[in-house]
Amino acid sequence: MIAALVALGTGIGAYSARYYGSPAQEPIEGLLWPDPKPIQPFLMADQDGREFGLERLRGKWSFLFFGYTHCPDVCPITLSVLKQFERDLKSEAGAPVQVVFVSVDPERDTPRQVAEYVRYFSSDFIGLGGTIGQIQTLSSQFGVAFYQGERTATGDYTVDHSAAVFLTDVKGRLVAIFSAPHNATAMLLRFRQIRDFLRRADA
Amino acid sequence: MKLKSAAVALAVAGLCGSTDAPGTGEITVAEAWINAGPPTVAVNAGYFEIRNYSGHDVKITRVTSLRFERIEMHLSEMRDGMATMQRQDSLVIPAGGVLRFAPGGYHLMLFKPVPPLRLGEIVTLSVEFADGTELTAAATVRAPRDPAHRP
Repeated sequence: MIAALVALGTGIGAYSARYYGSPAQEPIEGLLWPDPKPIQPFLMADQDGREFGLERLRGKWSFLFFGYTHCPDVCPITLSVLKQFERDLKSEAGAPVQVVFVSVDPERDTPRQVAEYVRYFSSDFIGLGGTIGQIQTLSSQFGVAFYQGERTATGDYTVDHSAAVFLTDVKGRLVAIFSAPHNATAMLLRFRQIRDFLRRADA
Repeated sequence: MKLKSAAVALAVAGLCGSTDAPGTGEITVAEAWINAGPPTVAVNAGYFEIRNYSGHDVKITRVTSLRFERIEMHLSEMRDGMATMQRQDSLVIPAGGVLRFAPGGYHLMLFKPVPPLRLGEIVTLSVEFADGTELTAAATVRAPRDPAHRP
């Protein structure tokens, strides 16, 4: 039923992309280097109704996750991991980090619904919504697909969606992909590796 | 129903002992919990472990609770990086096996709790089997336990 909104093949390459910093160095899993992908302009609305575009990705490290608030299993678990990650990271100095939840269910996820959803996990989380077109403009840049399933007799439906978490850097480039299942401790270790690597690489 | 063998540990040996299993002996339900989730959500996920110490396979046909409008069994799966959910009409637990409901795998979809769930609340779930027997599980409403250490 319903539209299949698939946006693949945007040149991001394999999810398992690895970069070997030097022959002796362990690869950093998920790091997209030497070809980070500059994010192109997009426009969505945050949970407070304010515009959220490319300029709000710049200047921060952003962890983006695409999901929907009626998702009972994978989404709340992923956001719980990101909450733990954010809490563990807070004591560290450096460029600020933001966690961004992007709803791929514009039919049910009103801004108010998204606001209450993300605030449950963290008062600092950002929740984005928009029209299908606006969502696609953003999601396609991450190679994120989402697909609305058939409706049940009660009108419920699920949305298949990418389970990965995406990292953009302070320049607004997609620099790394974290594949599911997620783990806050591993995510923090890998984020530090990526941050340190990019500081050297971009110096 | 097709059974996802990967989610079923066939060896009974080495299972952690459980002190809160409310089962009648041969089949036990334990480790039941409900992911609290934001108060506005219309559906929560529930998890438990069912162990079959008997010498024959058993089949779960339904899970019910007065606390929810309805309950479905689902399986989350990752396919090419996509998270998908498949409804399960019934699930078989082989003789001597254990079926674990856990985040990212089998889970109960708990629709429309009325009134909304409270953190720390204990919810009674009834697990019905194909042979007509029924077990109850006391599920605690809580946040995921230490997700940092989740595999």
